[in-house]
Amino acid sequence: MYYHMHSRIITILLFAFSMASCRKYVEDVPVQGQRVLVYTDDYRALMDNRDKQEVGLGSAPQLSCDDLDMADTALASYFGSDAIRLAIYTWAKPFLQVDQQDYDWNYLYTAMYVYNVVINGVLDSKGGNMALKNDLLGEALIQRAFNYFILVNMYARQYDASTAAKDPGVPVLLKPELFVDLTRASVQATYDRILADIRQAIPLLPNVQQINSRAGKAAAYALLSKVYLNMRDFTNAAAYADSTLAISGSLYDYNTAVASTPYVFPTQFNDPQVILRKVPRQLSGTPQLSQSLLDLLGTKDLRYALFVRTGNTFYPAFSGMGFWSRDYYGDGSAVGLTVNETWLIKAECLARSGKKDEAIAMLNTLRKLRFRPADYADLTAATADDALRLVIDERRREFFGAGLRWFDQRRLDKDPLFAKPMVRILKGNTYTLAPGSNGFVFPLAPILISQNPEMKQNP
Amino acid sequence: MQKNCFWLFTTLLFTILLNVRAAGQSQNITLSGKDLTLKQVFMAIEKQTGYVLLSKKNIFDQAKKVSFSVSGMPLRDFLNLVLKDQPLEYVIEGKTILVSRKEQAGASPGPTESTPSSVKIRIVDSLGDPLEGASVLLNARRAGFTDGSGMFTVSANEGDVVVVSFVGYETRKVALTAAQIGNAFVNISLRQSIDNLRDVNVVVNTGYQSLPKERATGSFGVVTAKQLAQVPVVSVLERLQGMVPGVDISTRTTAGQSRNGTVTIRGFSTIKSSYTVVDTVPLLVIDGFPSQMSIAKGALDYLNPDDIEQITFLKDAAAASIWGIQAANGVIVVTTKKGVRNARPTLGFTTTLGTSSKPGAKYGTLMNMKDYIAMEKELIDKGRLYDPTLTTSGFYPPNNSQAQAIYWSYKRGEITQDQLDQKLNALAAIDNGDQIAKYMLQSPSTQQYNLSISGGGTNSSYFISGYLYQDKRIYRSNTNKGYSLHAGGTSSFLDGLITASYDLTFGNTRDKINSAAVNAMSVGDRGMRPYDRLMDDSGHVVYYDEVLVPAIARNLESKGYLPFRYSPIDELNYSNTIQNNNNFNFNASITGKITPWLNAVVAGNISRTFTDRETYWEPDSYDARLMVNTATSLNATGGRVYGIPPGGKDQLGNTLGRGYGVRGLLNINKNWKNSHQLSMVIGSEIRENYNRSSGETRYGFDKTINAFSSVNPYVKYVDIYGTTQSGIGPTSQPVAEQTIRSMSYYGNGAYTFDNKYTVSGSARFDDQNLLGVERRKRAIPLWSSGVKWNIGREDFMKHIGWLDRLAFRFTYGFSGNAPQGYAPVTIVNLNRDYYTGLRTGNISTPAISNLAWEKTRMINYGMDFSLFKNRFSGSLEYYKKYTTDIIWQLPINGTYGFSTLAFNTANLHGSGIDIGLNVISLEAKDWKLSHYLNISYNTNIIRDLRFKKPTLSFDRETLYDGYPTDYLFSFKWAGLDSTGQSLIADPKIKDKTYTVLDYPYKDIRVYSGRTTSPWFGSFGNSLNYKGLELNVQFLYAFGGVFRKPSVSDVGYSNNNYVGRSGDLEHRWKKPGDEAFTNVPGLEFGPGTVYYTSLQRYTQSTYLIRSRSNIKLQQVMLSYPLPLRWAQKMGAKGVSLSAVARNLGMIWAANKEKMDPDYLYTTGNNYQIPPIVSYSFRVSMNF
Repeated sequence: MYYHMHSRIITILLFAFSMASCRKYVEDVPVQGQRVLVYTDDYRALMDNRDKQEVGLGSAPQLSCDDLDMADTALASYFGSDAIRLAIYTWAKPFLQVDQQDYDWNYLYTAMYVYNVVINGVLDSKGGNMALKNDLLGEALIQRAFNYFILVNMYARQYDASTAAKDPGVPVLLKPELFVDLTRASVQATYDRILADIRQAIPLLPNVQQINSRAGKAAAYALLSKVYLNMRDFTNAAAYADSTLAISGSLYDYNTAVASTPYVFPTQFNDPQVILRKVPRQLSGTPQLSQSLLDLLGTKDLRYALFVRTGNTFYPAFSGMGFWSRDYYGDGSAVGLTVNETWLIKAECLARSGKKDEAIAMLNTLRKLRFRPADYADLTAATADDALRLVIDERRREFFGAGLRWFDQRRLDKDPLFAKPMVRILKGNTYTLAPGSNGFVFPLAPILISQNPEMKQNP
Repeated sequence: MQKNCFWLFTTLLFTILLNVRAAGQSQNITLSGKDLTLKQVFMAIEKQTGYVLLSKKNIFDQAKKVSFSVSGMPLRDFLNLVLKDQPLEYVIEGKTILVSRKEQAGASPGPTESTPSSVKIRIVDSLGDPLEGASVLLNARRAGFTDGSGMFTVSANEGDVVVVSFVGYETRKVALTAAQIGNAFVNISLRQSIDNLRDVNVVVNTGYQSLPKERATGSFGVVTAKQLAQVPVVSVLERLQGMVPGVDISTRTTAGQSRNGTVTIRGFSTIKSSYTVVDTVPLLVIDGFPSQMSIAKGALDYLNPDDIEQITFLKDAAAASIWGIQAANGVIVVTTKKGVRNARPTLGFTTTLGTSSKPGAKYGTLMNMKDYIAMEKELIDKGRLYDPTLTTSGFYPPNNSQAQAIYWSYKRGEITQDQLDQKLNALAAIDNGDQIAKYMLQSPSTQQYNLSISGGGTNSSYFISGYLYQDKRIYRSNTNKGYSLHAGGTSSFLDGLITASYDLTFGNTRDKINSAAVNAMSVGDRGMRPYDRLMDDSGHVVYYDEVLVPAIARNLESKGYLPFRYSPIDELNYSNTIQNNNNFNFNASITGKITPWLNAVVAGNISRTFTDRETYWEPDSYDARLMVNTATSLNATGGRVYGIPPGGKDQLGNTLGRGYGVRGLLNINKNWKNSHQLSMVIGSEIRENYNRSSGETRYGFDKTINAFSSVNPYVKYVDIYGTTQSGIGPTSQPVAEQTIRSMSYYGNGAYTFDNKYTVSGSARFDDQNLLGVERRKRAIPLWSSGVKWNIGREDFMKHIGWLDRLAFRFTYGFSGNAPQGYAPVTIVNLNRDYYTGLRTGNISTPAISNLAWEKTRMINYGMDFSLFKNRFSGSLEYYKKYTTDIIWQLPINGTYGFSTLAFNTANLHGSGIDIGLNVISLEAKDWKLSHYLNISYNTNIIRDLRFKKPTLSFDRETLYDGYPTDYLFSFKWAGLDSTGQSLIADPKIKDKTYTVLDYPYKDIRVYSGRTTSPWFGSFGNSLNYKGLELNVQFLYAFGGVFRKPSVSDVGYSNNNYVGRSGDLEHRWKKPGDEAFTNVPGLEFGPGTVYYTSLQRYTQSTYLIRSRSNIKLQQVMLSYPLPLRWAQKMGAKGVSLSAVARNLGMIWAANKEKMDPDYLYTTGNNYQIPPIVSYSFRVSMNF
């Protein structure tokens, strides 16, 4: 019997090792009961998730810009009670303590992870046609470019062709990877990536989408126009503003909004001016609008009627006027890409190229929709610089309260015509943001730097 | 591919079995020699085949020497050849060759020459009870077995040797004397073998193999059927409580839930968090296969306690690592009873009836009614509540309490001060505690019946049982029922070379859950205030308004709304949840004997579980009426607009589980010359578990005709308050599916030399689809090894007379745990945007590819001893456990898109002691007094510098370096300030206190201790008099703390009920009270922060109490009826037992004498104290 043993043992060993070939047995079923991201439709669903993607800018730009002024002492102490808000409001670095997260930053990068998942995976997804996949790829590229544009304009120095290649921008992540080097790309490299993404996206996209939370060609051109404006490439900015307006050019007449009582203002989804819907991160409490803004706005302006209320209508109440944001009309402020912004970019480019009358004509077209006919009067400009000032003033009137002004302040800091110190007085202390100041560049959260020391802090 | 793979696997297994068959036919002998003595021949046989010789001594004295040369000759042929010309004959019994003298040989060696006489042999145990089925050998020849009265008749001569043996008893050899032959009657009493009494001959079962505990290096705890039968209560867990050191069993049930309980073996090996799905319950293995249902889900409820042969707890790595990654929390191996071969059919019947003392609704100190009403008045006076009748139209405030309504009517000037006092006094005279107990509670009771038939022939055996139970729960209208059927058998073929066995079980449990009682007793909306009667004096049900004040409710009812009235008594009949669970399990195995010491086993298991759960809200139920009413609005013309169709609601939920496992293994059990023993198992297996669940909700349901209304889940409707609701919501739940597959190779072996030295090793390689990580990280081998030194068997110890046994053990090994829910793929959640209506997706888990098992390293030192002829025996064990790579979320750079991410990162250091001691303090002819003491100690601590941080958050998912996972931190209490609000002291700065207006938040608490008792165990005494046995068991726990429940939030809404906690009576009421009370006052308004005050008080050191306590857990009495009484009933055996449990705490460290296991929460109005339960059991064999 022992002679037979060997053959038996061999059989048994064979049997044992046969199971080694069964590796597939445990690998064929990765995760069930959970939806693995495989189908094109699910990529579509990812790109339609507003909660994770609708934020177009954080709270810091809203608090830093000159739209606001906490002149009321009660309000000052309310806002001053939060160390973070206080630091942002007074441009005092750092904003955050050692272990605090910067939700402005995190939010934009969280969305970036989704865009990178889509950009890297959608073409290999299952169950969708090529047109849909291309569209999703294009949308994700535009969205990613938008987020990098906002990030680089919050956390890096304003684009300056002479220093951009050396100025640190933001970490540019192009893949959904969780453990890669986070060295900040230069401002130039960040802009290059933004432009490359937009250019790659343009041929993939339809002119307009069925809903303005999705990016179409119009959004791509509008973003290009805005990016070039920031780069002070006014020729390209004007050209792409034209491309945008050729597709989506309708302005909304604010007389419609005040026709009924109480006033109604369309949500961004129903607002023809909105090309790409984005909202600001919500602030807790309503800040007080600055006197310079109120002076500029006047009380006849429909934008005053719609978006300004007395401080006692807010919590906590204050004296003075507060920003009655679009939230009270059912949607956040439009801080994404809009027809009216592109319209004013075009006007600015015209003014900067000396075409003052054409610029003023554009302004007047817009302003007709911002006043009751009885209150409307044409603007005129004697010089191109006058025209440019009027355009910039109009931008301030058109976009106040939601933080977009901060980006103009940064941009115009490079413009001798506009650069001037900004002063804030809070609880008896005076704070000044001088032209060219490092205060125009938000600090990175210390936790980011301690976690990844390859990221360098801003001065 | 999977299929092919599987078939390859099965085919190979069958190939092996065919080989086995071939092997079976060749129990062959190869031997040649000249003039060999028969002794030599049989030694050769034993060596080659493992067949041993059994014969009278010197039987070969007269045998001739033999010469031959054979090769591969079958055993029987060979024996025929060798014994051909000898005065001997043989019989093969199992693996024994019985050789005896030929009767006709004439050459009888006996001292007398006489014809054999007929002798009756009666075999009894030490108590004189007959033993049925004892084996009788006459002159080494199998004579037969005793009958039911222990009798057997042989033909014998004087001097013949009778050998009597019986399982569990010492074998006796008796040479028949002339006197005995003359009497024709021999009484032989067998003593229970001492070895069998205490674990010397205990066999431990790892689920894969059985091995004598004596040769096991690992830490095993064994509970036998006999021990289980001693505690005649329904739940297996209750029976196991306190029996095994290191095994912590809690059988506390939760209100409104079905029977349940938890088992922890040697503490925890992982840390639970909300983001990992990881098991903390031990793996349950039933007859060799992991149960598809976990213990946490009630798997033990399906087991018939009378079917259990043995339960083995695998406690350390060496014991459990054969189960690989499933074994980190220990393993519980259940083996069920099997039929016995060569046994007459036995019919067993057991019934257990249990009842309990009448439950009361009061436990702990309660406020008296006058004070309770005064407190409600105070809340109104302090502006905490508003008058619900004074609100403007269109707003429907919730109703307030009777006392509040009376006080408001006084405040509105509707009644005078005298009327107020009179009415409130009348109310204060009522205490509904008795009514609650009478109408909402009942004495829990249980009935349990078990019937089994077992037996077997020469080649097969069977065991069939049926089991039925029915329980009434403490809350009225709550019942559990269940039954299980079990049929198992074994058959052997080809002279026992192939054995097939199978087990088929089906279990059903049916639980009825009604929450009326729990609702009535809680402080939720439906709670009864302590003066709310359920039934009035004339025996009519009293109805209450709950969501609306009576005037508004009646007005709406007049407009066609359904009645708003509410009575807990009515609700006992409605809104039941019926949960039906079915569990089917089929195990089959084929064992082939390849050689006498090598078996090949192919085994398979199929299981199915299906559960259906139905909650039906009858149209008349309060739930359904309220649901419809609150979703109904009135249109401009006064017509009702229903948001939810009128009628009932039916919620259905289904789960299906199916699993299979196929295993092939080789079992080696080799014994050389009695000095080398090797037992080994190697094998591989595949397993799949699939689960699916789904559910749906139907509205407008009427069960009598099974009709329902279709609803559109997203149609907006206006509710009773005029608010637009976004819709009923989904009426069906998504179908959730999960498949877990694993593939494993394993080996386990123990080698013993000279019965003194044992080394063991075990390794298992698991591959599972759970963590879809790289195989390199996923499929790591988990292993263990151990040594044992039976020092008591050494020659140098032999002279120590009082030492029966002494052995030292040491083991070291790894087991693992596989958290679920992580994968190298992106997982998305799908939803729908409420505004755009678009499908939306969210990345719930990013693709993580760096995760691996959690690994638990365990070291175990053990000592087993037995002294003074087993009068004092026990085992001591010390263990250390290090779990590493616990999946824990750590912050990562938000730039990556996530601010936290799961890593294999956290560590847990655990250690403990298990001690089990047994003492027989008195052992006389009829008396035996014995005691046991089980001591368990278990602790754990986090040692990790990353968790060395200021204390901030105290949720269970925040870890702190140097503290255990079940830490409790408290505010350092500094009494009350002059406004009646809490003061806390800074733990570091002397004399620094904070008022409620200060908000210190870092490192502001002090460590109070652990929330579990590190020391726990049981102490038992057993007195046995002629079979009548009295057992008294105490459970104890030492160390650990709890927070004494005290005052609850009084809320600020009219229907926010306030509990009746006695502490509230002692609340601060006026300045100066702070000198003698610590209970914060009800202070609201400027300068007060009520919630902070309350929170700091309830989480303060002032309310910390020690958990230490000793309880008299049970007193048990059992008596096996004397046989002659049993026989009168026609039975072979009858035993009776009775047990009383939960007899109360006999000592507690906390001054309130609260039972830390029955802490009422402050959220409850009424508390149920632990109640005494009594069970009676009758067990009969026919």
